[in-house]
Amino acid sequence: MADVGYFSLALALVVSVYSIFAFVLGVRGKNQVLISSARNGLLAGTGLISLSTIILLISFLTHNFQIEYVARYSSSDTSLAYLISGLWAGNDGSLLFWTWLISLIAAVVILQKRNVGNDLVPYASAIIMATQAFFLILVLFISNPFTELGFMPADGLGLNPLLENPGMIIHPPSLLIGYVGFTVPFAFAMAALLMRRLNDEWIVAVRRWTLVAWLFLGIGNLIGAWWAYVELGWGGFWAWDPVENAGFMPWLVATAFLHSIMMQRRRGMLKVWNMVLIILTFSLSIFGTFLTRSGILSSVHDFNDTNLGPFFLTFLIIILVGSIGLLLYRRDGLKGEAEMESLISRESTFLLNNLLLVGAAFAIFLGTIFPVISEAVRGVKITVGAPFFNQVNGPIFLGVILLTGVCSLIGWRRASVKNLLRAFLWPLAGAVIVLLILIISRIGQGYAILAFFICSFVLFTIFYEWFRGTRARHRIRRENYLKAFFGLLGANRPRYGGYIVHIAIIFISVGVVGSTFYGTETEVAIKPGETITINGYNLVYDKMDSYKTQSRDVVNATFTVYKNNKLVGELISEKYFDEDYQPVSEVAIRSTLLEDLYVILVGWEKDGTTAFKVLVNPMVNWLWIGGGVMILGGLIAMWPERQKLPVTGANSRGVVSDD
Amino acid sequence: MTNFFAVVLFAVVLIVLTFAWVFYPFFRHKARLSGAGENEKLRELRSERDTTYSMLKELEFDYQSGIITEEDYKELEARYKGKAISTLREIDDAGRDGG
Repeated sequence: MADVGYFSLALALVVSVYSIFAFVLGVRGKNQVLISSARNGLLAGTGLISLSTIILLISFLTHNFQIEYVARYSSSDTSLAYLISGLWAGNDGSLLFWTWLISLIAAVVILQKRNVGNDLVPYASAIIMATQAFFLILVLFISNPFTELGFMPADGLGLNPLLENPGMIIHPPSLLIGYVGFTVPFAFAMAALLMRRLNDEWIVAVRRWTLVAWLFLGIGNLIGAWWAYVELGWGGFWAWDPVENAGFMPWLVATAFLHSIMMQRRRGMLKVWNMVLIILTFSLSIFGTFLTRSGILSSVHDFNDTNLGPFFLTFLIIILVGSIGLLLYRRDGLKGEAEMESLISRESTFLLNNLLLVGAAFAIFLGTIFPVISEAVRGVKITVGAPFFNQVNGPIFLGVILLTGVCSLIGWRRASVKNLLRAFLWPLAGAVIVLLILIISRIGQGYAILAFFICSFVLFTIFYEWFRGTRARHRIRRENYLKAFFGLLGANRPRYGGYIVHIAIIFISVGVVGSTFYGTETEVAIKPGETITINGYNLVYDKMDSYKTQSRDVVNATFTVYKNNKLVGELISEKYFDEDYQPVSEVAIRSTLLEDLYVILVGWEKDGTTAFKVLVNPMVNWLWIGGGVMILGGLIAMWPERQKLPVTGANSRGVVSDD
Repeated sequence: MTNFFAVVLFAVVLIVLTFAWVFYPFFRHKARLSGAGENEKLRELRSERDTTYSMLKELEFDYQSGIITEEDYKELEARYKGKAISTLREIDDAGRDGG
């Protein structure tokens, strides 16, 4: 089985390389037969890589421990869900999984009905095949997941207990789909440069792909944060770890890209900038992989002992030099069709937002690679901690959020001061009321109050824009308000889906600000019968128990919890030890919309004294709610719009959708 | 040994099927030059038309929602409608030229 899996990958490499040349020569020679053959090669590659992936999956399901990778990441008592997640739990498997995703995406691109007849597709496919070939080389020659042991072990080592969490089943594939998804917009951008097709054809082709990748990457990051929160047991959800940053940077730049392509579509502006953004997004995706697998920075996410660093670095340099060189070569064809007419316009707010997003990504990049720079310059590895990232990015993100609200109320080209005042009056009034309530409530923390003020302003601008749109629709179409509201949403899905995503960002921001500024914590050592008091909570420590499962020794502590002297329930915080006696905390969390009570069992003495860390984290749930809203908004934004009139020929005047 | 032969046999079958599929287009059609490129101008014009329509739609939304003034709306609407008409004329001309 392992041999078949490996051979199938080798054959996939052959057809991928063939497809690259066949696509390029086919386009250059205008030879449709050669292009068809290349297309078949691409689809054959998808089939062959799928076969290998299925073989590895079957090896997990049948406990084929003769395959070293299977033995390392599963054991005979690993449950079905974690056997499947074994596919991406380690370096070798995750690279195969990555390659498989590229091949699937390539197949979707080539089979998409809307891409039939699109001249950019062959070149774009050649670039996707080149990326696929690179990953196949890595899987075949450096990180082969089909390597066999010379013997059949009685059992496997099993999955790292920290990875046995539902979040870990979704988090890595979601992130990887995000990373891999950016290959498509990058490939189309390069195809547009190569073919000198520099109008917005490529933008139309990639908008939805970029949204899909952006959404998966965003959700992947959030699920990662959720996993860190519930599983790692340190009380937080984001530590500015290099690999967390690696997932965040391309997301930020892709956010800028998704907004700036609107400028190109609407006004023919920022053509070079859009190219730069998509090159950066794709490069940062590869950089993220380089970080995880090179071992140059220490991270909780490290895949240890890989020697993939130089390969990824070389690939990254080729991408950057090749794409930027091509961009410079074609720069004459990328001149903007319009100029910025006023500082008070949607264009200027979009541009400023873009600069802030890229600036934030750059600051995170610098902070992430600072240990490498400091080691190269001064010989000492200096790690930049969370305070740096928070201090630099906090104000930038506040600026981004503020502009999110401002840009939705400003028209394209220019806005008159009178119009602006009229548009901002009600949202600003609403935000001022929130501000007054916060000040009167004496919650303190001026910076957090400013953040809540900005968040509420943006939220009110969105609601106000919806209200005005609904009212206008009600007036013109004589629809009732509910019908007018949903009609508004359906009539311009990219725009209103985008607004829903903005609401999601507000929810997430409120969660981050609330938990960062108003969190409280205490560390105590108590005996059963004693009480911990924190933020209106009384936690009565009832008892400590221990029990054994097939593979774990579990110790748990039970609390009866009172909030403002009213019984709210029972909490059980656990710590267990696996077969290697590695301790893992299972924190107890009581979650409400306002705050989380978070109890970590730290340790215990023979006399019954037990150490706990207890935190009250306000507003954390809004992060996860924001994630759900983000999915909803993203789906609405990428949902195809109806074509109002059929496009029937050269003289058709059909009204078509945005993409 | 049986296992070895089974793997070799499977590999041979896989190679034959893969290459038969990849080279199938060469046997199905005679190699021919594609007509790609002849409609390039038309495609660009259609893309331009769609962008203008989309811009008009957005403009209408902005006006109805009170984001832009009536004066700006009228000026921009006239400009985009003019652009749309000239693009449609070009599309018709290109369509006639292309047969």
